[in-house]
Amino acid sequence: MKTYPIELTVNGEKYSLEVEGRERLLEVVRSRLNITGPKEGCSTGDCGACTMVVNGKPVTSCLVLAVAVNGAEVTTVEGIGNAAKLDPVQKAFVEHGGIQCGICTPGFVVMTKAFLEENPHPTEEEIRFGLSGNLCRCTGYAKIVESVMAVAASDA
Amino acid sequence: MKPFEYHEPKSTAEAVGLLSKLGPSVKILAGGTDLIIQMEQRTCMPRHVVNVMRIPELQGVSGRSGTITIGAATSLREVETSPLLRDKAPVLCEAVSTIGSIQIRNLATVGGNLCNAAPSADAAPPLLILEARVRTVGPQGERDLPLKEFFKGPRQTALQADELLAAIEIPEPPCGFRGIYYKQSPRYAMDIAIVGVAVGVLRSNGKCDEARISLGAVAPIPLRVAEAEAILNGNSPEERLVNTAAEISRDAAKPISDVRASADYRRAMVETLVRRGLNTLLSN
Repeated sequence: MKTYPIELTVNGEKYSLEVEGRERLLEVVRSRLNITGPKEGCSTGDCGACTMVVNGKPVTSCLVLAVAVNGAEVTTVEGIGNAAKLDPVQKAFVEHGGIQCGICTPGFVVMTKAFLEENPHPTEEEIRFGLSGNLCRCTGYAKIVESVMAVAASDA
Repeated sequence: MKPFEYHEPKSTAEAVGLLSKLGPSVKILAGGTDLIIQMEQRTCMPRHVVNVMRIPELQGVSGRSGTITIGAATSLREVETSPLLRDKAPVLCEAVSTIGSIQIRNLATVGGNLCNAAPSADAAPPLLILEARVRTVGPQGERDLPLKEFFKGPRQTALQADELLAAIEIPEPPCGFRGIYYKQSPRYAMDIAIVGVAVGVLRSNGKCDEARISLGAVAPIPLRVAEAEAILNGNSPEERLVNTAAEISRDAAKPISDVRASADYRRAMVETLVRRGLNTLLSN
């Protein structure tokens, strides 16, 4: 099958690859670059577990063709912080119990980070609106919203 | 997903050339929030995919001599947050903000929302009350038509196979025009409308100079309800007239029953929401 050369900068690192037209950004990042923070949940854009920031904007990467974002700057949860140096968003999720099984967490962290950059001091209602594209089946959201409120408050 | 050949035109002329050349097994890719799912689930298996997101002419919101132009490939998030639209046509921003999530709206485009021609498309009712027109490009050149002539049926538009939607053009609403959009949906977020109602009103000296009413998700295509509007046009807004306009709107709806809502419920909600919209806009 025909392939297309593309370049991606993921978490600051540059990659050159050959992809088929049908390969989605999510599977390229996970399976070919072995960056497995983003998760495939629903494959239809509903759950937000695959959220990445692409050229400055959070998107559901399961609905993006890799070839269509040739040249893009991509950030996954791995580009936000790590075990040695947690980002304030990650720290807040840990401290406020905004995590349980963890499957949705990479998407929530990436989305929260992008959302707070646009709106650093949101109300609770704005947080719920901003995170409405991320599903969590464990926490019931209260603790996630608390986590985000804590980041916004600590930054004030 | 089935394999396909990928094309990335840099201009509308190049895109139209590709559509003509590649024939019936071609799909236009914009935001991809519908198409990628269909291809992944193999309900749509094109041999060629033409990505129109790298065509500069199709991007952005701009205003000039009384017309606001929205490039067809402008993201819904850009429409939602555009300072020009927030100022001149906030009802569109409001309606678009109910679609999907921020992640989805960063991908999905306003042209895609219209070209999919889902009866429930949230961008349609507000654009109909804003009297939007659409500009298409094809091998024979450009066409310009009112949005209400663009919708032909569920998933059917006035576009020919080798035509592309280029832009949506909104005449700047007159001073004093106010609009409102209500979306009735089983969930607060991430679901489609079971009823979408856009109401617009132009008032002066206590009179309703002009009313505009549009319905989504309750007929094969999004509707304007001229008969209901006519009841109010030029009159003082009395409760009796508002109720009559709401009843006419309800009777104009031809909804289906499905897993989300029954036809009866949808009709009842049309009446309620049209009345609520008119009362809200005419009361102060």
